[in-house]
Amino acid sequence: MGASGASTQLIFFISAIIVSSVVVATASRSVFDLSNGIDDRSEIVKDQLSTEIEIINDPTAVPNDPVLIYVKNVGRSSLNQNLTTVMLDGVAVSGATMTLTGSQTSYWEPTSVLTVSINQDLASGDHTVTVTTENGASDQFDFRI
Amino acid sequence: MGFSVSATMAIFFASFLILFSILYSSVNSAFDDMETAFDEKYDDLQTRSDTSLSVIDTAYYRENNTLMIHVQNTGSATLDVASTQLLVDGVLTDSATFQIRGVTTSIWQPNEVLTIALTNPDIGFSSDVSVRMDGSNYKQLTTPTNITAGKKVYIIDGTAIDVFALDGTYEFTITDTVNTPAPRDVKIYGDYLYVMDDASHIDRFTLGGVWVNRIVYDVVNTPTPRAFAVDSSYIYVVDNYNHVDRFNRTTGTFVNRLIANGGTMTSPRDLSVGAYIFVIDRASSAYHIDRYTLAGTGGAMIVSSSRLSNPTDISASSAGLQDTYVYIVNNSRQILVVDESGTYQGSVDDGLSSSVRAVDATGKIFVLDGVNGLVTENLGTSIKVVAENGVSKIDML
Repeated sequence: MGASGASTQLIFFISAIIVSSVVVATASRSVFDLSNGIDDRSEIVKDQLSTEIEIINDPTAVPNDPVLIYVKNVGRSSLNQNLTTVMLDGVAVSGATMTLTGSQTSYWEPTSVLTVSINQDLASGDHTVTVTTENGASDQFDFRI
Repeated sequence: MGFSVSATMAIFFASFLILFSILYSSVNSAFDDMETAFDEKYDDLQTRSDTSLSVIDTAYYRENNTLMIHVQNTGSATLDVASTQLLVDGVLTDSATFQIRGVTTSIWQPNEVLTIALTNPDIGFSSDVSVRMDGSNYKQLTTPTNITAGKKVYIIDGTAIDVFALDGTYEFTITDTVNTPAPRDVKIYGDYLYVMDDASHIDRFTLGGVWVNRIVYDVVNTPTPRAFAVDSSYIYVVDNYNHVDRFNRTTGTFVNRLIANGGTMTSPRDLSVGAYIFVIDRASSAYHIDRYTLAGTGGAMIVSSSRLSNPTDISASSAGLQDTYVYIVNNSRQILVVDESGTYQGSVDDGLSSSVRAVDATGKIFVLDGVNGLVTENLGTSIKVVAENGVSKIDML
């Protein structure tokens, strides 16, 4: 009994250590994932909060054929103009030319203006343009031709 | 058994502490990031709500083909000059210069006035404008007869010249009974005001109204001047409703008889010089508009008498503008607008009576109306100034 009791205790002890380590390993993977998720998510939300754009066109005189849309970065983060989506009357525009004014780099820096040139001849009437940045910040602009 | 439980609990406890601290640091840094981002967001919102602009005035100067816009920072936020944008007629300009009190600076403080200068601006007449009339002022005027506009508006009123700011505010009166007892025509160009005394001579005044000299007085070639126009090089004078002579603008010396009588020219009444010379001519008891090159050649009718009824004054856009128009006082009740080929563009009569006397078009259309006085009409060119944070102000030329 003495020796078998001690070995039983030892087996129990080792098993307990193994089982608890497995439990801890599983739990820590979840915790690490959660922690990474929180980090990533907070980065994204922070980016979204610090991004703000404004379409600065004169609504009374929007250049047509080509349609020129002027979008100013009035937030705090530098953006990539190539990841910007432009929707004209609800349809995503492909092949628009993007030109930067006032930026010292090839990125769309705060306070600089992105000129979006769309080769299109808009019919007279009401139109809507929506510009969305890489992280989802967007601005909408209604005008009449 | 008891020892195993204790060991398990110890492992769990230690792991819990470690994992919790990892999780806590993540959440904590996330909250910090959020807090910073929200702070910045509210700062930006605060700055935007503290930002306000006001367009004080706009003016176009023929002599250097420049549009000048004065914008005041009427908010409480300090703005960045370099991040300010100007849109003229809906198009972003990148050649405008921005200065505060004549100095290029990047800081635009509250109450400071930013001067925006744009050379070769795209301003022109638009036939489709919802608000054409900008204002009117009859104060001070008694018997107004002619008008010119530049840095200020000068109106011949009886034997005096009343001076108004571009916004129509009366400023002062110029009276010179010795040199110009009977002023009939007046033109502003550069730093001088040119005043034609009836059928006699043309004198020069400073813009403040101080007589400078007699610039055109030529009894041999031009004994009876009736109307005149000024450009960067010359003074063009209609003599005795017969022909057009040309004088050097700075020295006043006679250059040549630019357009002699005969051919296209019958009985010229008034003229205006832009990219071409535009003349109100009278033939067979009817008026028409002729156009000549600046060399006085190529005379041809561009507006026939069928569209005109007793036109009394003509003003052409500056040659430097991309689109040039000709403004004609027609039938004493409207301003007829044609392009430089004579094609009809529209007519302006908002706020005008049936005694319109004269017109000059620079950054706006300045009309002299016998009942309503100085009536300012918009050309229909929209301008928009955008501050660094997107706050903007729209005004119309």
